Amino acid sequence: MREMIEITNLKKIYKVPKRESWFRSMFWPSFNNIVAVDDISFKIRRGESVALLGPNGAGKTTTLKMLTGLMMPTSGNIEITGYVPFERDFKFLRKIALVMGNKSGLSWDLSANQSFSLLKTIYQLSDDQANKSINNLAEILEVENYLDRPIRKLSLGQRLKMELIAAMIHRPEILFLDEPTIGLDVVAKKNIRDFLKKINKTDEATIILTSHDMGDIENVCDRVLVINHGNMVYDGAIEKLLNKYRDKKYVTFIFKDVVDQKLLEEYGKIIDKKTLSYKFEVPAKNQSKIIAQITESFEVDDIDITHVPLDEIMTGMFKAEK
Amino acid sequence: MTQWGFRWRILKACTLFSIKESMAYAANNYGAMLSTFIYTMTYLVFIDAIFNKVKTIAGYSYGEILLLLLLAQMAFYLTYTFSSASINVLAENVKNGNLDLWLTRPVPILWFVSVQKINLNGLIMDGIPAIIVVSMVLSKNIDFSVTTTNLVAGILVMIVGLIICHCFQFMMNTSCFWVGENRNMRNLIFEMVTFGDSIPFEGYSANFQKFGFLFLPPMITSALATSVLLGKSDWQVYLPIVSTIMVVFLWLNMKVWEIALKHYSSASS
Repeated sequence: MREMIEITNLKKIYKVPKRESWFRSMFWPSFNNIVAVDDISFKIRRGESVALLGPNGAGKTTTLKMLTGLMMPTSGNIEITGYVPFERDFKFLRKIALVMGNKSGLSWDLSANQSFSLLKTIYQLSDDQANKSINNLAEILEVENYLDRPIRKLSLGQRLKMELIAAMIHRPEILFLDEPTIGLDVVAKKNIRDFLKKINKTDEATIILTSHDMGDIENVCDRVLVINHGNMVYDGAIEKLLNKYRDKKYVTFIFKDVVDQKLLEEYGKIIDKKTLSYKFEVPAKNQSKIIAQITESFEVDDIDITHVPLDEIMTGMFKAEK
Repeated sequence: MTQWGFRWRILKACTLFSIKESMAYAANNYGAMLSTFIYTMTYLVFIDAIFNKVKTIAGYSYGEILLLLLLAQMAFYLTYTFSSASINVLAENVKNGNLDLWLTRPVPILWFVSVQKINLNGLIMDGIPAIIVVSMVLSKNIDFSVTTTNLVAGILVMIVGLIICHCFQFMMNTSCFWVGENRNMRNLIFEMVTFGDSIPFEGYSANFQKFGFLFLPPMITSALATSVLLGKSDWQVYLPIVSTIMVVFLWLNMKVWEIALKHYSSASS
C-alpha cells in the first residue's frame, strides 16, 4: 500500500476581530489569533479507514475542510495523491467525495435520479457508467425503489443514503465523511456503516470520517486520529486504544425477578440499573468469577459483557488533557 | 471535451434541472404569470394616460416609449432568469454551507454558480405573455424607424448591458461570504439593476449620460440600448465604451470571486 495522503506541519490560524469601538474596528481593526490546528502531521495509506476524533472545537472539521480544499491552511503542506487540495485540480476533485450529514446537495423537489443526472454531467459519465454505478449503490443501500420519488417525500435515512449515492456516483478513491449518521435511527445507522465498510473493502476506497457517534468509528474505522486543542494526541489502531482499557469490563445482568440492590453491591461497582437489569464495572480478570457467583445466587435471564466504550475512553482522554 | 464544451454541457444540464424544479409546483408558475401580466397592463394604462396629455417625454414619442418599455421588460426578465436566480441560490448555499459540496466537485465553480439556476420555464411563463402584450400595443403605434445597423448595435448594447448587470449583481452579492445573511442586500442590488429601466436615456443630464452607467448599469440594458436602436445615440461612441466597461467588470468579477472564495470558511458543521 502506498501513501495516499501526506500532511506535514499543518497549521490553521483564524483571525478573529477584537471587540472595539465601531470607528476603530472600521479603520484600524485588530485581531486575535485563534489556533484551530497546530502543527499536525500524518500519513494515510490507500484503503485505510481513518477517524478524526475530538471534542467540539478541537480542530477536526477544520482539518477535514483543509483536506478537501475548502479551506487554505495558514502553513504546512497537504498532498493528496500528489495534488494540493486548495488548487482544486479537476483530476483531484474526481478522486474525492465529501458527504456531510447535515448538508444536502440534492434538490428537495426532484427525485434522486433527476439530481443524479446533473452530477452525471459534472463527472462526465456516460449513461451506462452512471446507471451501473447508481443501481449498484442503490442495491447495496436498499433504496432501489425510492430513486424516482421526490427527495422531500423520503425519510431522513433514505435521504442520507441518496446523498451517499450522489457522493459515490463517480466511484471516488477517497471519501470524506462529516457526521454521516447524524440524526438517524439505529437501523439506518447500521445500514450506512455496513455500506461504508463494504465500499472500503470492495472499492478499496480510503475513508476519512469525523463523527461524535463512537459506533460509527468502531464499526467503520481501523485507525483513529485524536485531535484536541488543535494538536494530535493519539494516532493509532482502535484496538490499541481499546486495549489500554482492557483490564476493565462492563457486565450487564438481566434478572428474572426484581433483586435487592444491597445484595448485589458486594459483587462490584454498579454503574447503571433498571428494574430488572444491573450493569457492573468489574476487573477483566475477575469477570468469570463474578458471573459465576451472581448466577449461582440469583435467577439470571441474560448476561451481556462489553468492553469500555470508545466514547468513555475519549472522555477520559480529553479530561486528562485538560 | 474542450473547456467551453464542458461549460456548455453544464449550462444545458443546469437549465434542464432548473426547468424540472420549476415544474414541481406548476400552480405557482400561473400565479407569477398573472402578477406580471397585471403589472404590464397597469403600466400600459399609465403610459397611455400620460400621452393623452403630452406629445413626448424627454423627446420620446408614444411609440418610442413603448419600445423602451419593451426593452426594459425584456431586460428585467432576462436579468432575473439568467442572473438573479443563480445569485440568490449562491447566497443561500454560502449561508447554509451547501457550497462545500459543490466546491468539492470537478466543475468550473464560478461558471457553475453563475448558471446553476436558469429557469427558462419561468421566463416563458412570466416574461413572454407580458412581452407579447407590449409588442402588440407597440406594433399598432410604431411612429419611428430603425435601421439594420442600429438594430444590431442596439441588441449588442443590450447584451453587453446584461453582462455588466450580472457582474454588478454578482460582485455585490459576494458580501454573503463576509456577512452570511444578505437577503436584504440582494433585494437592494436587484432594485439597483432594475431601477430606472423605464427612464429614457435622454432624460438624464448630459454628464450622467457620460458616466451614469458606471454605477447605474440598467441604463445600458434598456435606456441606452433603446437610444442606440432609435439612432438618438451614436453606437460608434457608446458600443466601444460599454464593451470596455464589460471587460473591466468581467475581470473584476473574477478577482472579487477569488477573494471571496479565499475568505470562505463555510458554515460550521
